[in-house]
Amino acid sequence: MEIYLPIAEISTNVFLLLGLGGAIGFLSGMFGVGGGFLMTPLLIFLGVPPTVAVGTGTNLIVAASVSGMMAHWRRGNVDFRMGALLFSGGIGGAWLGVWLFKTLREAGQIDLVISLFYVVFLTIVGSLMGAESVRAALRRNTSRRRKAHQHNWFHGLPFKLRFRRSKLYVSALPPIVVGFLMGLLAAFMGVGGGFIMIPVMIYLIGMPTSVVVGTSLFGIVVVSTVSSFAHAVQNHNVDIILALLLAVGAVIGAQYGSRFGQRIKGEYLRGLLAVMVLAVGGRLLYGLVARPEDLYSATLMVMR
Amino acid sequence: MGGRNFLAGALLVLFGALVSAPLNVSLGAGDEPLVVDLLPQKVEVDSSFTGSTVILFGVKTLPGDIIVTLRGPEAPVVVRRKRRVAGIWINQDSVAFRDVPQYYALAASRPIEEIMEAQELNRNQIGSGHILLNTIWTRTTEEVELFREAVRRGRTAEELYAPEIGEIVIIDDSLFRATLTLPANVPTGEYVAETLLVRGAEILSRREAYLTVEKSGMSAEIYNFAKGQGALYGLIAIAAALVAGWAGGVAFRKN
Repeated sequence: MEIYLPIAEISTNVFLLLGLGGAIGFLSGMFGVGGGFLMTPLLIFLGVPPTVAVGTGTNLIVAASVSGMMAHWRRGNVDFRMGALLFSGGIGGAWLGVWLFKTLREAGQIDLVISLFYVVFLTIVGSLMGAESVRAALRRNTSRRRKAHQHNWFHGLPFKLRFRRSKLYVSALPPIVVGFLMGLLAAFMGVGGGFIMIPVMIYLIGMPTSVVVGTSLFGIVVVSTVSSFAHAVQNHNVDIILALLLAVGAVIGAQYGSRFGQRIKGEYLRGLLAVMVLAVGGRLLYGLVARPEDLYSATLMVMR
Repeated sequence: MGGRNFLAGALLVLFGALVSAPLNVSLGAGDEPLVVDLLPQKVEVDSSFTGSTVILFGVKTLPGDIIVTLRGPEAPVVVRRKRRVAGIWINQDSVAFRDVPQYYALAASRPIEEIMEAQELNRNQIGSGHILLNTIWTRTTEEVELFREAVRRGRTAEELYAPEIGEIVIIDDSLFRATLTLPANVPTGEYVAETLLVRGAEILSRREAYLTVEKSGMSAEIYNFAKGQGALYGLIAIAAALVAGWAGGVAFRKN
């Protein structure tokens, strides 16, 4: 059954989109990641214009993260004070990111910048994950103990605040900066940014793992909401039909993914994900390096 | 659009043209040796649109060749050329063109080069290779010519500039019919079909007919809403995402 996507302006098969959403949802449920960083490149491979893939991605992340966030909220695993700081930085980052996005689009460079961002981030994340899972697999049986959190230079920064839920007394600056970066990434890549935020929260800010996931989901929902809105207003690149079809697939897929994921060892899981992430990054890199069929491309001039 | 209704309509109007043509001639109405009409005059692009054809038919009272051109709405276009920078292909040079027709199709009763000299083809913009493409801000050089060719090549690859010249059927040296194809990605807007009656490199008559291509159905409404009221559209899209995600979570929690 073919459906015409009104904003992407292409015709695709409904079941292909549901299946794609389901596959991404399955992976995100299995690996515990948002899946946005796989969704956007796959949409681009499918023929969706990169700008629409990113704008729609921000909207999809809202749908994909909200139920997880509410589950954590009920269990009291969201540090709202920390979330509010992330949120305030995130709004700034999202608006700046969407504005930059628009400027680059008018200069004809946005497709390149989206691909470059993805190549860089997928390569970094894929390599780190791959290395980490190999290391973990090698020393499966040697367990380590860690302090509640390590003190580092982050804890010398001014404007300290008390975070009761996280049992922390740290500067308000790092969460705002992290939120700001997340907003930029959300606007540029159509991702939630959990894969950047979670390590920062655990290793740099030193939050307890129990509240990290809930708080980062809270930040993701808020930041993707803001950047989705900003894209809809400034770039008109959010395809509501595409987002909803993918979301339906993703919500269902995530349920099965999380059940399946519990049966596989964590390090194998992360190793598998690392291979996939690197493959997608490699495919995007090939698109940048290979000589294009036609060096010339014509586009309608953007009207102000 | 029902293909059968469309065909029946075409036949009906053709019949009408047949009957009325001799009448016009005998009365000497307007002394115009060319009468044309277009069917349909409006094409609606909805979510199931996969392309369409329009038929231009007419009557000529003088011997000669018929050339039909169909031009889509015009818009400024930027052509960018990629160059390799540090191993990566990056858009670098660009040339802007004003008033580029977004669609162009041609039908002729004989190969156009046999009907007219190249100079005349240029002057009348007949054939996608002869469309006038004026630059904005840039003086025309040989370099610019490469960009100009890229406009034509790109549009032809997308079938927006019809890659082949359409056929014109002439019956009894007076009644003629041209079939023009609109691809699935046809741009919306106002189209002009121009019919020329040519004999011995001289244009005896020219007539225009008009065609409107517009989006219709739900996808058109969503598109217009998203472009026209971005803020409200954004809020609705977010609300839909929140509800979809929340409903999915609730549905699975109960199981």
